[in-house]
Order: sequence, then C-alpha cells, then structure tokens
Amino acid sequence: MEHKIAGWGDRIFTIVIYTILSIIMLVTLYPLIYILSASFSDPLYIAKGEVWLLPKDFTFSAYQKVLSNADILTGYRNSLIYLVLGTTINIVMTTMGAYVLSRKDFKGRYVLALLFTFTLLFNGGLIPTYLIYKNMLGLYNNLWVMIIPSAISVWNLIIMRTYFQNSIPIEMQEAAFMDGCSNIRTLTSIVLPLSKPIIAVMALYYGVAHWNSYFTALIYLNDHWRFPLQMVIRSILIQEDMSAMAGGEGESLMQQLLLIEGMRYAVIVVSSLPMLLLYPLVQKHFVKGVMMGAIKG
Amino acid sequence: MKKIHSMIALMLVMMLIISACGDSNTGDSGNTDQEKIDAAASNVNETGFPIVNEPLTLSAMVLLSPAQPTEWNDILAWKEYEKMSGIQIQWDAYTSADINEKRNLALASDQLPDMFYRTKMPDNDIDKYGAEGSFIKLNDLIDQYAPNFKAVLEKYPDVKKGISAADGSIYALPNLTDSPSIEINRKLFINQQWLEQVGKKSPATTDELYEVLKAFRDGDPNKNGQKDEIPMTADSLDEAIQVIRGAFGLGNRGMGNGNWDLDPSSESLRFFPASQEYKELLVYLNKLYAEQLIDKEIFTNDGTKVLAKNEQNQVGSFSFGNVIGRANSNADDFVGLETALTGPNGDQLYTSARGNLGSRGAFMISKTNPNPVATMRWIDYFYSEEGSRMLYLGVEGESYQQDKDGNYDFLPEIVENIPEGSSFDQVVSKYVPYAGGSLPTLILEDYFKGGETQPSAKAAAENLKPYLPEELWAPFSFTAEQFDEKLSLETDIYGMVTQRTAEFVQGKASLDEFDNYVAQLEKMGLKRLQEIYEEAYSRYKQ
Repeated sequence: MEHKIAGWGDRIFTIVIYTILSIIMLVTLYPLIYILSASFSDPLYIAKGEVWLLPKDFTFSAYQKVLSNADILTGYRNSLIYLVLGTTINIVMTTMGAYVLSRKDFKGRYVLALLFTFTLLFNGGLIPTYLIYKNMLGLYNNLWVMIIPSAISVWNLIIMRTYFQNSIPIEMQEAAFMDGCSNIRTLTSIVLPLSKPIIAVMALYYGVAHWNSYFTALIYLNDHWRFPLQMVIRSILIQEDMSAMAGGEGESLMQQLLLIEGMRYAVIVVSSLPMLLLYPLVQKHFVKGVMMGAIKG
Repeated sequence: MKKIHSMIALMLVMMLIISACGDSNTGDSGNTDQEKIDAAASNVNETGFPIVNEPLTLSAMVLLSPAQPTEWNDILAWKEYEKMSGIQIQWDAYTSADINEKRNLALASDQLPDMFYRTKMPDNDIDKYGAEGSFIKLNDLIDQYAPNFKAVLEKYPDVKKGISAADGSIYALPNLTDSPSIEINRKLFINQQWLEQVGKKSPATTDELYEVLKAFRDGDPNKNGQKDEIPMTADSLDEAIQVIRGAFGLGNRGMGNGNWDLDPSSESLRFFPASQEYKELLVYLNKLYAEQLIDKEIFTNDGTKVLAKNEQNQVGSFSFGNVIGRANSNADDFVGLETALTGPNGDQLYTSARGNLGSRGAFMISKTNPNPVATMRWIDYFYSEEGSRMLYLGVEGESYQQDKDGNYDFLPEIVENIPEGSSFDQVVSKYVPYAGGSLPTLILEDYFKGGETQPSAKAAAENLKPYLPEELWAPFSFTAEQFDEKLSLETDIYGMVTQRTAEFVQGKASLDEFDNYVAQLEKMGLKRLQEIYEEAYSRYKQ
C-alpha cells in the first residue's frame, strides 16, 4: 500500500475489493477454524451445537483417542508408504514418458500421444477392470494395486511434456548431443536440473492424489491392515446408527456416538496435517511451474 | 465425486448386461444345485456333530461392527464352533461404510463368496439375484437338512410367509426374534423424577399425555430456574409418531408393511396416512408442537443430540427402543408407559411393533458354494436354542454361566472389569459375534444381553404387550415387475407424506388442506399402489 491512492473512485474500488476478499476469506476460513475448535472441545457441546467459534471445555481427549487408535496409526503408516512409494514411481514414469513425447525427432510420438489421450477419455469401467485386476493380474488385495494402476496420470504427463517442449530450448538439447550426451544423459544432466519447478508441482499433484485416494482401496483391498488412512477415517465418519437393526447396540451405542462425535474433528485435523504442511513448501514452485507448463502450451 | 458417479453408472450398466445374460441360465440352475447337493453330501453327516468328516473351508462375507475384532475368527464362539463342526470359515469382514459397495461388486461381477452372512442384503436383491441363480434356492435344503429352522417355521407362521419370494421360493435365511422388547420397536420413556416433581402420574390417554407434557414445560421440573425443558423428543418426527399413532388406531397390523394396515370397518387394506384418523393424529401433534411440547429441533435431531440433551437433564420424555441408548447419567430416571395410551376415539392400541421376522436377508448360500448341504447344516444350528446361546453368550464356563435360578449371564470377571475407554460390546465381542445385530439366528430374550433386554426396556415392553395388534404382519413379497413399479410410486408418495406431515405438524400448512393433500396422493398414483399391495396381500393371506 505504498503507492498513493489517486482519487475517490480508486479508493472506493479498493474498499469494495477488500470487503469482498475479506468475506471470501471468512467463508473459507470458518470451516477450518470450526473443525479445529471442535476437535479441542468436549463432544457433548459439539452434539448440542454450542461450539461455533472457540473450543468449549478445552480438552485433548479426542486427540488422545485418535493417537491411541491402532487402526488410525496403521492407516497413517500405510498412507505414508503409498504416498512415498507411489509418488516416486509416478515422478519417474511421468518424467520418462513426457521426455520421450517432447522430443520432436521421435517418430510416432503423435500416435503414442493419441493413445495416451484416449485413456483419458475412455476406460473399461469398474467391473471389467475389477475382474482383470482380480483374476488376471493378481492385484486384488495387493499393496501394488494402490500404486501400479495409477502410475501415470495422463493429464500430468501432458502438462510435463508441454513444459519440456516450451521451457527447455531444443537447441540446448542439440548442443548436449553435440558434446556427446546420450538420451539418458541429456535427460538427467540437462533436462531434469532445469525442471525442478514442474517436478515439485507433479510431486504435489500426485502426492495429494495418493493421500486422498480411498476408492481403489475400497474396491480392491480386503485386509484391514492394508487400509490407507482415508479408509479408516471413512469408516469412522460414516458410522451408521445401527440401533435400527434388530438386536440393537445397547449400551455401547451411546458411548460410540459421543466417541465418534469427538474423534470426527480430530481425525480430520490429523489427516489433513501432512498436506497442509506440504503446501507452503511447494507453493513457490507451484505458481511458477503450472504457469510455465500451461500457458505457453 | 464425479469419478464415483460415473463408476456407479458403469456398474449399473454392467449389472444390466450380466442380469440379461443370467436370465437364459435360470432354467437349469435348479438341476445344477441338485447335482451339487448330491455330490457334496457324501462328506456330510446327516445329523449331529461334526458336520463334515473331512475338514472343509468356506468363505463368507460379513458386516463388521466397530466393536468387533477385525479378524472374526478370533471370536471365541467361532473358534468353538469350528472345532464342533469341522468347518472353517474364512471371513471377509467389511465395515458398514464399505459393505454395500463390496456386496454389490461381488454380485455384479459374479465373484461370490460361498455365503453371505449378515451383509445388509436388501429384500429386492434377494429375490432378484435369487431368481437369476446367484443364490441357491433353499426350500429343499431346509426340508432335508435344517430340522431346527423347520421347527422355527412351524412355530412362527408369520415367518414362513415373510421369508418366501412371491413364487414361494426361499433364497435367504432371516434374522428372527422371540422377545417383545425387541419386537416393540419404539417405546415412550417418561422421566419419573419430573413426574413426581410436577405431581402427575404416568399418562394413560393422549389427553393426559398432553397435560403431563404441559406440566413439564411450565413446572421447571429440572429445577434450574430456566425454562429449558424439552417435554418430548425423539431422533425424528417419525419415531415420535410411532409411539402415539396406535392411540388413533393407526398401523393396526404393526410395522411390517410401513404405512399399510387394515381398515377396521371394512377389513380391507388401507394406506393410513390418507385416513381421517391420520388427520386427527396430525391435529394432536400440531397442538403439541405449537405449544412447544415437542422438541422444536425434532426435524434435525439425531441420536447424539438427544443424548446430549439428556446429559443436561432437559428431557421429559423420549421415544427410543431402550433407555440406555439415549440417556446416560440420568438413565435411571426413565420408565416406560404403564399402559398403551387411549386415544380420543377410545382406541387403545400400541402399534410400533413387528412380528418375529427381524430382517429377511441375513444369510444366503451362493451358487459357487462347494457344499451347500454342509453349509445349511452349519447355519441351522443357530436356529436352535443351544446355537442361539452360543452366538449371544459364547461357551459355558469360558464366557458365561448359569446361576442358581437358571438365569444365564456373562461371567462376572468379564463384564465387571470393563477397561476405561472401551464399551460393554467391545468387551463381550471377544467372545460372541452379536454386536451389530441382524445375525441369521433366532434371538431369545433370556440370552440376549443388549439394551433392549435391560430391565427398564423389558418392563416397558411387558406393559405394552397386551395392547399389541392381534396380528403383526411380516413384510409382503412382490414380484419383480411389481417391485419396480411399487418402488417408483412409493418414492413419490411416501416422500409427499413425509413432507406434508412435517408441514402439518409445524403448522406451515393448515389442516384444512388435508383433503387437498389426500387428493394429491391420489393424483400421484395411490390407487395403483393400493392395487399392487392388495395383490401381495391376497398372496400373503393364503
């Protein structure tokens, strides 16, 4: 705000903009604050709807329950494994794919690109895919089902290819060849060092996707000890009231209701924490990277 | 979300294709079933235990309650039964969040477990996949290999009517109860402390109930000087209606068929939300609501909220199956009605009840099962008294005992040492698999130790039992074509009933518009729906 505000018109304009932005900020921020406050409140007050901004009857009990819940800890561990392993494979595969497709001297790259794009629009559908994974590929109830089928996202591949094409001058690669670089050497010594922003962005995209994915696990995983965190959270959050069933749940129903109410918010906080921490680290690349890939493409 | 939607859409398409293919095979599925039965029977002993001579392993899909260990075979009762029967079960256990997807996927892709054990199978899917041949038709198996279940069918005639498909085939074994306290679905519990405080006695008519609730509202029975009392609450408006409607003569064949009962004057089928008595009920409820005698949050309530209100001692009466599920620290204050309420026209009936049939699709044997005979014998045990006891109490000496008076209960060292942070169900789930309900078995009151058989709920049920309808219907069965038509009609009509009921009770719509509302229902196809139900009813009566 160092520049001088010229006239009334500008001043009103600024005020209006700031008001609108503040409202948007409040609307976005409120749910986050609410969840944070609720996670520190006594579940009884959440159930009664008395928590609305600040924690009521401040307590860590929900976090204690969450962190002592074996399922959640296993889920956390599994999610981290899927995240690290999955993202590493994603980056390697996507980089290699994108590099090949970005080379103008590679014959048949249009056909290849078309085939890739085709899968972006069409797929076999859930049940045929399920049958193939289960009966032919042996991926059912297997750790790799979380990683291999999603090894490449065509969308990200295209973004990356565009980046390679537009941000790294082909002359530079030709120069590298003149100096005796092989394709691999060109990729590792010339292209990759120049592509850090896009790699950071890809890591974030893929990482978030891995962290949030539950559908693959829901369909293809069977053993509870393989479940990623999102599956565990899902079963905690979508706990149906079973009292309607014959035989009832009796005493534990009440305890469960309050337990779930309390854990619900703490679980959300705990599970979004890694991603919230990751964003600021990658953010500076984020803006740069996406712009470079997308706009010039 | 978009991805999921498209996946579900694709799944539906595939289901159609698969079901179309399946139709051509249904003709000979009966034969293959029979061959399989004969082939596998050689390994099976016709009576007694063990069931099989050579060890047999079967796979089963099951719904996992959050209280239970994720490895179902760790439960004592299953270990014991495996030793007894010689049959090992490989349980694929899914939580309630996942079971629907897993079950639909298994059925649609035809990758079936050997049996479906408590999988929340909807009634329509039983008939549909049964007719397509995914499940084995059980009529003959029951006849030959299930003496206990056969005895149950003879004992409870409503069960036999309720479990058969429209053509008489039985594809699923049900969850059954023989306990008024469980069968009386919702009971009205009244705060006795408050009753004493305001000097009233337990109401016996709807007018008295009104007076009591008014006294609760005005008399400051929780003595905090604030007018924060909620005279009556429930998880939903529907549950509040359930405990009152009998006094208006509504639902006089129980809850088996939802909003359908018999017209007392003509003995013909009646859709009671379109009756004059229903209007009287709405007038009454509207009066309660307008005078703030019913929780004003009843339309957005849920169990946790009722519980929280009870923790603050704000509730005068509530509708639920038992006390302990909705009241914690003041649970001892609540007692059920002493008698069924008498309505303005002299009806004294209590209709929030069902027959012995808890749920229809608790257990199915799939066509890929290698040994249906052994499977039938395996499950039949749980319809006997000893079997039911094993499911609900475990093993004598290890998890339960019988006291001097012949009462059964868990061993004291198990239930008296519940560790901090865990629940009764979690503790007993190491021994017995019943948590989550709806097991394919016959629940007997003496063995069941859940909320419904706690003294307060049991006493409430005893008081109401004499006023139950003389006949409680099991759900009617419909043919596939009827079912589809019925479903689309019901979606519209029932939705309208729920919406208009809420509006009438809240006073958003005047009750002068009642005839208007009935005419609207007629326009939506109530006549056609009535025909479908009448056809099903005439089949049911046979």
